[in-house]
Amino acid sequence: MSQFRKTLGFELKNNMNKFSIAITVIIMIIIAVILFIPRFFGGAAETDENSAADMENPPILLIKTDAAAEKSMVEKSFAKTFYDYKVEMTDDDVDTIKNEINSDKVGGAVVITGETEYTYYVKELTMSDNNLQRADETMLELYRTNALMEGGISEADAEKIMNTTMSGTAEGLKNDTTKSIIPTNVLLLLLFFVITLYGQKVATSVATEKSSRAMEMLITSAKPVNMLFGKVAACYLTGLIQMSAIIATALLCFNINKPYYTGNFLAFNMFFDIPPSLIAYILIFFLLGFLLYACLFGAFGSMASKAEQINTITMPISYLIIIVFFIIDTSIQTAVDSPLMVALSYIPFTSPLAMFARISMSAVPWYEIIISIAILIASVIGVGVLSAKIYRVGVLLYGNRPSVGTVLKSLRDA
Amino acid sequence: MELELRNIEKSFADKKVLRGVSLKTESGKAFGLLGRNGAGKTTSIRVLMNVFSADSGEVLIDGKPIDYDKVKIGYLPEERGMYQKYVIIDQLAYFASLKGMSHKEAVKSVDRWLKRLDMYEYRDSKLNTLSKGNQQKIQLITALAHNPDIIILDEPFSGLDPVNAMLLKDVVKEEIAKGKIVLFSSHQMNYIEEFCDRIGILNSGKMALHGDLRDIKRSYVRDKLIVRTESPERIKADFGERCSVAEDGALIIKLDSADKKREAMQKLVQSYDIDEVSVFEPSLNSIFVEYTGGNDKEGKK
Repeated sequence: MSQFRKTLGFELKNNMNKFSIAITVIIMIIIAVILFIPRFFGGAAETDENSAADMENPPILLIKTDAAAEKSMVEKSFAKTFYDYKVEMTDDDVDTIKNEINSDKVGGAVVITGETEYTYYVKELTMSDNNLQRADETMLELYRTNALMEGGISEADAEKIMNTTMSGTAEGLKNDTTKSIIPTNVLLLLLFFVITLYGQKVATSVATEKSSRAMEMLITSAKPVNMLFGKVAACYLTGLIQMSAIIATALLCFNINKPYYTGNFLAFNMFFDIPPSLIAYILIFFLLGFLLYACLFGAFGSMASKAEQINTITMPISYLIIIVFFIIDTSIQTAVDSPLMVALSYIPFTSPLAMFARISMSAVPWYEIIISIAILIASVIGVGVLSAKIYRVGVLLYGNRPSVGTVLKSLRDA
Repeated sequence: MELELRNIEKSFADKKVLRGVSLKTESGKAFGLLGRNGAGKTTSIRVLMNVFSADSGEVLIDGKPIDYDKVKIGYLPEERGMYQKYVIIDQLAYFASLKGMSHKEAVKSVDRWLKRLDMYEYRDSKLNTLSKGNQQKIQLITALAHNPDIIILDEPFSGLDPVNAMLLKDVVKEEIAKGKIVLFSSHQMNYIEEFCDRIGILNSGKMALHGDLRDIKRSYVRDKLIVRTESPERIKADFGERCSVAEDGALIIKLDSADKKREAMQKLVQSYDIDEVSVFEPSLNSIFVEYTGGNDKEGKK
């Protein structure tokens, strides 16, 4: 235990070196800058003062129509839909209207050329411009109102019919995956990323010790199982500390700027809409998933003679994680509780991601969670013991990369 | 304290690396473990250090199986290596603490050794800023800082300049004088002869020769004299085919039998201008070649 503790302390101290801290701080700053953008550049903050200023001087929207008899109805409808514009009717020709738009005298114009045809003019058409959709709705409403009036219904009644709204709500009796899919995706990606990144770090660390021959000293100073688990634990804590710092920065900056996440930035709210219970589960599955994969990374890393061989040697594990991630990420888009997902949530190498996704997006019975975690813990112990044996043999094998057969033979002889 | 390896057998896959290796040494003595490359020296050391267990045989301390929690072993491997980019004091204290010291004790002991080896000025430097020889001195501290009972030094003098070699010799002599068991593995026979009371020569995994170095040398038939003189021509002419010249220019005279040596020595001193005459004993080098040369190809690691 003492050797484990000392290895953990030494590795953690070296993992958290100046360079590593600098990288973490830079990422934290970048995240902070990104999350402050809506406050400074978005103009979306819906404070009372800003709203009042916008209301005092709204942009002008020109409407041109040849149907003289309907002008008042057209103006009224557009004024209702384009509540944030000052709607004005015009008889100017199209070129004049274009000039006015180019000279910023007006914000835009809708030129109606028929009952179902119109052109929307604006100086710069952007992806976020929803005026075309609003004009569509207005034109459709006008068309239907006209149709009703032609059928003998008065304008007032037609307007009443057209303005009738339905009141309905959707309620997922077990769960609502529409709300949780985005945070689940984010957290799954985070789990995948952290396990891969810090697992790879374990392999690189082992290979570096072996290639520098520091392993000769270590293997004769400490028990391999203490060394491997000390290293794995140090990388886990490094990941936990760095990721916690980064996530805490993101949450803090988001909450500081939350009032500004409106309009075009409204969608960002979904990324941060994470229930607190999920945080506990992600910590459990990060711990167990990481231990499982990191032990394997350590064992595979011990078979490399040089640090450059790490990528090739650990490729099977990397592919395994990538495949697992894509299967689960694809499955949650369609059916999170499909038989495949249920099966995957019990298989050790897939359960950290699969069970977490199911917990996040559906109501999983408590006993299923317990069984999954129990299988995972047993697997971590089994893989840990096997990895320590491979590690013990692998670190003494120099020269060409040993084949699986060589390792198995050595395991038998060790 | 008496250290004994008794009938150690070890195989890897289908290759038998150690075939009944035995050796014995005690506190305050240095033991020279010799052998050609691939003879099984490193494997013997690893079995002794419990890096892997033997297929059969025992490692004993005072006749009882060794308790690795109680007996501390220091090891300087032939393949030198530490953390190149880490600060020296941090890694030396780490290695010492892995072997049972508290961090505070480890730092104190490492500091003492850094001063002893004239390396204290590099205490807070990174290892890769040091020359190869100085890195080797730092590595030596990993074998000594935790105050081991058994010190295993694998080619400790390779790469050291004469001044540092002298410093290391002094350190090794001090450790022997403190009552430590020192186990040398080296191909530099002069150092083995200088330090070791007992030797073991491994050949193809077997202990080809094992025992007290002086006794081994005395076990050879003492029927040759070695003569050093300024004027060898007369002696060569008088003794004819029985006189040969050694590599260092000394004359070796073959006698009819060992019991003639006293008479021959008196005759030589009386008849010729002799600087030195003594009974010829084989060098460790020639003993090594005799027991390992020609009958085995260099093995692979």
